Amino acid sequence: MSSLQKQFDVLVVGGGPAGIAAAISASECGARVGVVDDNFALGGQIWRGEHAKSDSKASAWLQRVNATAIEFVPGVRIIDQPKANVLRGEGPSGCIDILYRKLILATGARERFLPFPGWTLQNVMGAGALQALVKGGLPIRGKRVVVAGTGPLLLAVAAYLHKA
Amino acid sequence: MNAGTYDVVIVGSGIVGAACALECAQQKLRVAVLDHDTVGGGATAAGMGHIVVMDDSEAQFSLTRYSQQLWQELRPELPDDVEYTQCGTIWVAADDEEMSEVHRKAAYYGRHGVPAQILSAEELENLEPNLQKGLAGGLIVPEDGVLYPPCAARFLIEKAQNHGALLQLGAPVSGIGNGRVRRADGTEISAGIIVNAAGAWAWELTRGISVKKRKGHLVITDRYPGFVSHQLVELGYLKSAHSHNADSVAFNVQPRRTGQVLIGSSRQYGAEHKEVDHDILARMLQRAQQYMPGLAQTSAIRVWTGFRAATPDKLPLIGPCAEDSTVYLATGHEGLGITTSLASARLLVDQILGSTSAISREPYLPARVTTLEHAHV
Amino acid sequence: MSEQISVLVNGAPCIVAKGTTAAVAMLIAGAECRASVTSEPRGPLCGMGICFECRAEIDGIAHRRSCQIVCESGMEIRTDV
Repeated sequence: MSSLQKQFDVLVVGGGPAGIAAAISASECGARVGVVDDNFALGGQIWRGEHAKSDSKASAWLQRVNATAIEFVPGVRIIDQPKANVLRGEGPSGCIDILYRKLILATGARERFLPFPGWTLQNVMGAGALQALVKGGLPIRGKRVVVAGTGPLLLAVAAYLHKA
Repeated sequence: MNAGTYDVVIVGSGIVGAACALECAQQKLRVAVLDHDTVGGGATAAGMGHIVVMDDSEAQFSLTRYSQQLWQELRPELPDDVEYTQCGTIWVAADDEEMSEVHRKAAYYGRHGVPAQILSAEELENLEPNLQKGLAGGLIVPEDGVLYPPCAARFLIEKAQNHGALLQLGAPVSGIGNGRVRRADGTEISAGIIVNAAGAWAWELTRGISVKKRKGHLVITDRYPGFVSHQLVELGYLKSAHSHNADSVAFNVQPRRTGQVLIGSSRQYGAEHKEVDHDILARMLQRAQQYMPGLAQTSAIRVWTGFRAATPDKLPLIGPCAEDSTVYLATGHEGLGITTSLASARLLVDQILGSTSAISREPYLPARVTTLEHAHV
Repeated sequence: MSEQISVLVNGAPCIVAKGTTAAVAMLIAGAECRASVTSEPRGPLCGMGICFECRAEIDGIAHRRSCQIVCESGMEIRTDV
């Protein structure tokens, strides 16, 4: 059972804004660059669904990626480092070993959930989660939404949902 | 815990130490159990919890069969979280050579009163449809079972405590001998008898005993109820367990009550670190997929390792040390610790009290091994 | 502007916009993704593939993170509730 293999000078793990910017810089310096992400599209969490629009800041960055030879390895989740300079990922076609000389980790952030009674109920989810699901096609028009908390992310999510 | 003399101090609260504690307490011995960590934190927590009759030797058969019967007697008392399930074992034969081993085993078990039934290729397929097609057949041993070892060890310890045993966790022991146990904090306890039930760490307390660490790997999947119904073991397992030097893997899977599938097994000598060894893990999983191709589609949620305590003749050490009559050993159970814990405890306490045992104790006596030294207190 | 495709949620057809994730398809169909070990209905919590609460059987393979899978025409989504 052999796995797929890819090889890059610079491997960027995470295709969000930071990973995209790093990859473009490295590529414009002449390195052979790959970007791997668990998601099927570049953009990470904050730019989910942005490829569909044509006039946003996100799409400007994505167009710059397209102008380079950066290889995007979509839908692959890194699960292991079997040896130095190799990362192993799991994707739609099975396992893939990615060899690299330099590695950039741009894996971003995740919500840190506070358990409370009821946190497992249907339709109780993280703020970023609701935004991600709405970007993933969840119709929100006419629905009542309670956003609990007032951190910066929550205000941004509330603003987004209000417009959606 | 105060000073004062205990009749028995047991070092190690794994399944063997816990069983010994209960047996001592039930025999009205004043007993204390010390563990450097938690109850059943060593191989007990890492293993498969398979209760299996094995016939590599007469001695191994006697001990496993006796102990399996003790588990069956204890079964009605076991709480739900011990997850005791009499799912049976199917020894799987891949070819004609292994099928003759099936016949030999069937005859042996038949002579010794262990229910076992030969399965044709078709019968095997009917019982376990997710096995690879084209296997030769197998042997089903319906009285074998599985349980969840950490909860079993906890149950035995709690029952021992109800009978007056004392338990001290987080209490590393630095030396034993001459009726004394020295703890890492410098304090000492007096004991009529000290039982070294420290498993993979036993050699640290009793130098020179032939107990070596034998590393294993296990993988547990997400829930797939009905994927497998019995503990399945390839007959090639015996070649793996026999090997003294080489790293080896063998197909071994087990259904858990949750519907999760537990996948093993691997054996390595000389591996001291507990990190997952990806090469042997890959070999183990490839071997498993040869027998159950559907495993390739399952989702593994955790991989871990553990250290079995192995002896050169594959039999545990149960009984007094030659050089120090105050130190008894109850260790070296390799992959049969869960199975043989109850019988080991019986044989140990029989020796402490000078009673006769239900089976011969000779094959497990530490004195059978020539060199023994231990850390002097 | 978005194209519509049809997927099956527990055998029943569900029309969704192209680009919709399987988790959202289940929410639109009113299906719960899975049951916990104590039989509580569960659905997505993180929305980004790290919490594993949205696991469902997709095209015959069980326990897939549905929030990370984009619907394709005819996709068969099965929940265990």
